[in-house]
Amino acid sequence: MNDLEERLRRDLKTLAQRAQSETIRPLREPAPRRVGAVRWLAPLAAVAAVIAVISAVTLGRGMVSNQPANGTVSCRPASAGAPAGMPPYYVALHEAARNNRIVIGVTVRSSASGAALCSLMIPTGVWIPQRAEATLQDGVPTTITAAADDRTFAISAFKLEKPVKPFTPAVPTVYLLRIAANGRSARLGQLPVNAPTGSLYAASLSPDGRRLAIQVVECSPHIPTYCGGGLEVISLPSGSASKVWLAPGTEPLDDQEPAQWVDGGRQLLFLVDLPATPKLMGYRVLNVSSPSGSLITNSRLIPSPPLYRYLSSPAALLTPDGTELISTEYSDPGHLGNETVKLVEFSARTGHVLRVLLTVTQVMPMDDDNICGVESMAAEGSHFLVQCPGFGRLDNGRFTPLPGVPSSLAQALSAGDNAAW
Amino acid sequence: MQRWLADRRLFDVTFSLADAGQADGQAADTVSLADLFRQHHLELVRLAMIMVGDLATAEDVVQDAFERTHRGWLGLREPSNGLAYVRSSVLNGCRSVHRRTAVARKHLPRLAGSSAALPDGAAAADDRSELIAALRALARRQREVIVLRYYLDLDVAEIAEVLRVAPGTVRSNCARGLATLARVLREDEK
Repeated sequence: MNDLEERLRRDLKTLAQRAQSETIRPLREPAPRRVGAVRWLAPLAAVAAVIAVISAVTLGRGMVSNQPANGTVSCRPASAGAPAGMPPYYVALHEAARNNRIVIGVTVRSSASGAALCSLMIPTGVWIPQRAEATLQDGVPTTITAAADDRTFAISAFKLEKPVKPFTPAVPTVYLLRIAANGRSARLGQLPVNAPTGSLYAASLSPDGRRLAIQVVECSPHIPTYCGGGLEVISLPSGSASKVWLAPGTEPLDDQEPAQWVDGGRQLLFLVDLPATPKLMGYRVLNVSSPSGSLITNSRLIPSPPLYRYLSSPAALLTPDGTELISTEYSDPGHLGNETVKLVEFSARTGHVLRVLLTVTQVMPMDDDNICGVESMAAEGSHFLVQCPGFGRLDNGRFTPLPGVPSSLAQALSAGDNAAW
Repeated sequence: MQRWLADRRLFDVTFSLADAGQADGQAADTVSLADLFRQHHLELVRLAMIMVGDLATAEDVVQDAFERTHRGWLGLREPSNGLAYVRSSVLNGCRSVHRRTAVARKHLPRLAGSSAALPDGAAAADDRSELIAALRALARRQREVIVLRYYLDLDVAEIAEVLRVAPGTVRSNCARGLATLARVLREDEK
């Protein structure tokens, strides 16, 4: 146990001692309930979308080359070209074992067939414990985010400097993956990004590949309990922070939901509580050309269907022109049974449904990690990588399964976007 | 009839006796939720107090959870799930408190304002631990995972059951929360 863990246990136990059995109010017995009514008193919540968690645990298998980070590998040419308008490649991350350490496998795949073209490896330093149950106890959260050129990707991962015990914080690191214009090679390099620890779980690469948006939490120097969530933009490849926007007094932004660059990199879409309706969240777009300052006054709310906080982590993508919102709509079956899930395109101007992109039926219950969502959207906004519940591409309402991520969501490991194009 | 009550977010649903299996003779093997609340009352109040910041609110949260689950709960498929379930119900109640608090915060002065801007007067006045203060700044799920892990000493599987999430989600949120806490503490020490 490290110092932080010891402090946590000690301080939490001390805090808990403020409540003693002789001083707390006893439980009051509820009034007798009349039984026999066969009713659902409340409908199952119509949960909003969550970007799917699709990281795989492929211990001892999976294709991971021995190429370490900061290296170049050759790539096989794709046997078939991608359909018109679709990016030629997508990149999927998975975790694998290498010499009793966890590594992040980075695989470049053909968008047309899903075939692996090349792969690289990011070492994490995380030791795999002997007990299978405790495997990956530390967790190695990773995210991948793509630029608009279809060939540049930023990967945020975490690295331990030395083998440590479970639940020890790791050092956040950012890597840039560039696929050559002819597709014959890919280069992975670590960037000198000195981002706050814990802030890279929701990183987003700008369309030009030169800026990284991350989520931050800032606390008042005078009132430690008074904090606010915000967004920070980091310049690449220098890694220097350029601007910060904060929303003092708000809950931290949902770290499972990265901000998204829209409008050609001029705005950032993010999810935040709606102040007047405590159960609802809403999407706002931030004007990135505005100076550092308030996240709220420098952004505007865009209409969307109801997004319920805590029932799920609502997720959506905004098309590059800012006119449509791609999100997930869950049915309310009202009884035990299957649930219909739809990937839906909404008007970002009115919040009304424009068209249904995909409809699937799956068995209840739905949970945060058993959901449907859009993983990534092509630069021109008409093709999607989706997990609903299988992984595949979606073009013109047609779903095509693709390999590269686990078919079983029971293997879901860590949060974040683990496939992108 | 297979019972699956423990698998649902039970605050959203209520079942009949027939649906829950009592009508087909399976009531005998159920556990008493009321007994679980009574047996673990102090622990549950402490858990809620850590999450919401003051004792009176924590007592209300546990009482409210007790009453709501008493209305809706009839039996659990696995008696061992009972404690996880009541913990989960208390955490659900804490989330409602946080939602209300978040609304109140909107009307407070700027971030670095005077002490009048405390978001939760009782909690802030009592928080002498920088670590506890930093814990309250974490995202909701990270905070829950950290508290369940380091206050209740639950393992990954147990936390996953309480929060109704995959074990991987527990691991990643714990790692994230610890990372953020470590950063905040380092900055405070500068």
